[in-house]
Order: sequence, then structure tokens, then C-alpha cells
Amino acid sequence: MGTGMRTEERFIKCGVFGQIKENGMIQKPILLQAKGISKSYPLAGKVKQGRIYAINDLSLRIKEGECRGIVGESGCGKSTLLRILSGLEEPDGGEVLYQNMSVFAQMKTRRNEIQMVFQNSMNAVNSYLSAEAILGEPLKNFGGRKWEGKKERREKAALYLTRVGLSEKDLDKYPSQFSGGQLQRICIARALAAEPRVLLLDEPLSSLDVSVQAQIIRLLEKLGKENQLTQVLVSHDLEAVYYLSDSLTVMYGGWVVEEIEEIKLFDQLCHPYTKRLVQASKGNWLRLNEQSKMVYPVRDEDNRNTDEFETFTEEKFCPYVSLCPQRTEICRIEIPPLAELCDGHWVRCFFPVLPEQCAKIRNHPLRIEKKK
Amino acid sequence: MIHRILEDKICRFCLVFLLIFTCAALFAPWIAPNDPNEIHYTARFAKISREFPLGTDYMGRCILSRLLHGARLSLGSAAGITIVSSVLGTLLGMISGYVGGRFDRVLMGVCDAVRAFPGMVIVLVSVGILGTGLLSLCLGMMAARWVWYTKVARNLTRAERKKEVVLASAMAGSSTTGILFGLIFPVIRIPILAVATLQFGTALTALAGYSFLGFGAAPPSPEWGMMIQDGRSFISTNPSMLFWPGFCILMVIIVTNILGDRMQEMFELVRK
Repeated sequence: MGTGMRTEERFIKCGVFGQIKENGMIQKPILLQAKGISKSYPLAGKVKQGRIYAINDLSLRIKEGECRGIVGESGCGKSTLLRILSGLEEPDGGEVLYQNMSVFAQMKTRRNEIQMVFQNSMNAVNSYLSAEAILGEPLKNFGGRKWEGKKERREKAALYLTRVGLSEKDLDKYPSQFSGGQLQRICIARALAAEPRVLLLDEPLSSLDVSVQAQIIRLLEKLGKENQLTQVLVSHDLEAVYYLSDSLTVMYGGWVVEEIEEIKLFDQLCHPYTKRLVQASKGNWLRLNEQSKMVYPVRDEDNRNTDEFETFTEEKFCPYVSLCPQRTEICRIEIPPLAELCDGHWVRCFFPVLPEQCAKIRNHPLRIEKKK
Repeated sequence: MIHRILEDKICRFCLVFLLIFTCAALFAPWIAPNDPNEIHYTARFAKISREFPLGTDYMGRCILSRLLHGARLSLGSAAGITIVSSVLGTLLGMISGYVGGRFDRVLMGVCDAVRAFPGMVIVLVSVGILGTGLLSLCLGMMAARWVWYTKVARNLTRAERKKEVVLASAMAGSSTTGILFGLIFPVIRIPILAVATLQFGTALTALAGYSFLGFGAAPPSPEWGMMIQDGRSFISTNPSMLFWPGFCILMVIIVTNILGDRMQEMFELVRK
């Protein structure tokens, strides 16, 4: 990587905020861990082959039983990250550890323990199979002798269907006979049928209408509480993530730009990109266009020249520099490190928009240091 | 997809036509009016009659009987070549496309090398080593033809393998074999079938061509290419000897080409 050091090493513990957490709570063990992973894909062009960086030097620690939210705009590498976490793809650099062993090697024998729900449920099921056969696939493959009999398998499949809020009658239906939300639930049921410990959800709400979204959110919440299922929820719907997650990672251009280990720090999110994301979900970015009397989105950033900077490369500058209102010269020549602002709150920015509630944070050493 | 092919009028016509030819070949011993190799010296170059429905050749052998028996050899060999090379090529292509990596690169290199030679060179090598005969001819043609299926199957498999349904099936613990035959093969079988249909036509022509040149079946056997070779000498005096086998080959090729093109077209439509 162009940044030289691994992120692990650059988790900077700074000044008075750098104490090791001793708040009396028993820390849950880390179940799934990414260590400085990166992934790139070759671009078109045969003479000089460029590469697009989907993920840059990313580290994540997902504790047992927690729900980790990952937000970011389209194309910031979220889905790639999930595929790597699930062991379907190997990262170019770094490693993913599941219970302290490489996930990629383990998934041949422990495939059922990490399951994933794909973004577009219509594409994720074989349209020639009935719901029974779809649910039967993991039961047959992972259940061993237990679900060998067709009758037992059907009963078990019906059980999972009822758990996700569908009825036994739906077993004989084909995917085209389900609505989008129902199919999403079938996909969740299929993942659950493997009896996983980690459930990766790739935009589970994106193609659903609001009422169905609410149903799925409630379902996921129930699963998290009842089964102690570790979940990784990728979404661009901040509200849903806020509601469901215990911790949050914000990605931009393949980088982690901000991370909070507890969702109660949500108010203190302070990276300029996160700010914009939060504002956008509140609807603040809509301003009234006086001339046309129409609601029309206007952003100051839109007028900026974005071609000047190219994200997704190995170049050394802040990934968000082209759109950032706070940028200065330093942002164009150096990648800001992921620094810990206060306990469990990490930001990759030289000049974060500091939250007012947290006066202590104003001493963010990076800011003072870099301004000199 | 299969039912769509059956619903299509042109495809149905072609399939019925091929079915008639196949039946004629299969039941040749029972429908043929005469023994194909029985010589009637008294009836050389006979005109069309009740006894000889398409006349006789220069040795007084019944042309219709020879055509029917020849269909077994010609169509059978062409079908054999097509089936063996398509099954082998498709299997290799699917594995190569799904597994990828070094195996894929090596296999694609081999395919390119085989494709670089004209098919005739490979056939000549095979006939040269194994001796003339229908079997060595067929083996040579198989060796030259499997690469086409491998390429098609490999590229289609590569397109399929990154799809969410395949990933989801892998997530659900399905084996590679299960995924290849349960998910990928049903998608790629129609384009493979289209290629096979087109290749069947070319195999038939090539087979007739090689037999005409003397690489194929031994003289008394009524292979269609051999019949054309026999009739060549009498083209000005007795063209029917040459006409009937030529006509049969032409018809089968036209029909298979139309069928293959039509299937390919339909597959493209589905993909769009």
C-alpha cells in the first residue's frame, strides 16, 4: 500500500484520550476481524494497466453478538468488503480472521458459520426452485444426517419460514410468486437455516418499500436479541443502521473514514463526509429553489471541480478531499491517519467538525500539530 | 427455453425434418427396398421404377437403399463426433471457467493452439497415425472440434459464476459439481446446443469431404461422401448418382444451420 504502514499500527492513541478502556464492562470477544485488507480490480487498458481500489487498508473488529453497521455511498466498497468478510473472495493484501484463524481457509469446513444475505434477493435465488428447495439447500448441505429425510427437511424449512414471518403454505411457491419483501425474508431464512454465528447483510432494505422495511428491521432486531447473532449490516439508510446497530463504520472511497464502537456516540460523528451523510438523511440538503418554486437539491460541493482529484487510486491524499469543505493543503499531500478522538471514536480527518458537546475533543492533537 | 424452441414454427419444422432423417437412418434395414450392396448387373443405371425407387448406380445397386443405409453411417458419425466433442468440450470449459486461475490459462492456451491448426491438418495426422477408416477420421475430427465448445462454455460460465445466485448457492454449502450442473449448465445449455447444431452440419460436410478424398469409409460401404465420389465419374451421363446424396447432405445442412441460427437468436433475445 502507498501509505506504508498498516492501519493496525496507525491506530493512534493520542494524549489524554488514549487510555485503555477500563469502564468495568466485560469486553466481548472479537469474532470477526479484518486486518489491513485491501482489494483492487484491474481497469481496462492493456498497455498501462491501472487498478481500481475498492478497499484500502481496512481494519475492522466485530465483537461477538454485536450488530455492526457499515454506511457509505454507492461504490465505496461496502459490498466488496462483505464478500471478503464472508470468505467468498480473497483480499489482495491483509487478512480476515474468524476466531483468530484465516476465514478463507476455514470456510471450506465451516461454511455455515458465516452467512450472507445478498443485496438483490431476486438475483440471489434460483427461480426454478420452490421455497422448500431453496431452504432445503443449506439444510441438506449443513445438517448432515439430521435432515436427510424429505419430510423432516420440510418441517424444518417450515419452521424457518414461520420465524421470518411467512407461513408454511409458502413452501410450495416459486420465487416469482413472492413479493420483494417476502423474497428478502426467504433469503434471510435460507441464511438462518445454515445456523450461522455471523450474518452479513448487504443492503437488506434497499429495494423495499417503507412498511416492508419496517418489518425486516423488526425481524433483524428480533434475531439479534433472541439468537445472539453477530450481524454486519451494510446500508446507506442511516436511520435503519442507527436503529439496529451497536457500532458504526463509515466508509468513503474504499477507506474507513469514521468509526464508533458504541452507537451512543452517534451524535458526535464528526468527519465532514459523515456530517453530510447525516444531514442528507435528515433532509436538510433540500433547499427551496426560489425561481422555479420547486424543491431542488443544491449543494455547495457540486460546484467544486471534482476532476482535479481522483479517488480510488494509490495516490496519497485524503479520499474525501475533492468534496470536503474543510480541506487545506495538507489534505492533498497526505492521507490522514485513522486517529482516536475519544474512547471508541476514530476519525480519518485532519480537521474534523468537532462536536460541541464534547469539549475535551477540541484538543485533538492532530489538528494542533498539523496546523503548525 | 426448450419449450420456446418447440413453440417456434421454424424450429419445429427443422426438428421434424431432422426427425424424419433420423428415423430413416434408424429403420433403414426395414424400410430399404433392396440390399444396399447387392449388385444387379442387368439393371445398371436403371431409371426410377417400382423396384428401384431412385434408380441404380453403375453397379446396379439401389440408390435409395444405399442412401438409407448411408444415412446411418454419415448422420451417425456426424452425431457421434458432435456429441463426444460437445460433451467433452463443455465439461472442460465449465470447469475451466468456474475454477479459473492457472488451469484456465493453460487450457485456454491449449485451445488456442488447437484452433491455430486447420481442422484438416489434425484429421490428416490422425488418419496418418491410425490408418484410413471411419473411426480414425471421427477421432481426428473430435480432436479438432472440442475446442469450440470449450471456448463457448468457458466464457458463459465465467459470466455466470460471479452472479449472486451462484454465490448464494456456494454460501448454502453446495458443492462445485452441484453448482456447475444445477445452476450454470441450465443457463449455458441452449447456446451450447446451438453451437452443436451448427457443428453437426459442418461435421457432416467435412465427413463427406474426407470420404470423397478417400480417408473415410472403405469402398463398398454406402457413406454419402463415398456415393458422391462414385458418382463423380458419371456426372455427365448419369447425374442422379451424384444428385441424391448431394441433395441429402445439402438438406440436412440447411436445416441444421437454420435451427442453430434460430436458437442462437432466441438465446440472445432472452439475454436482452
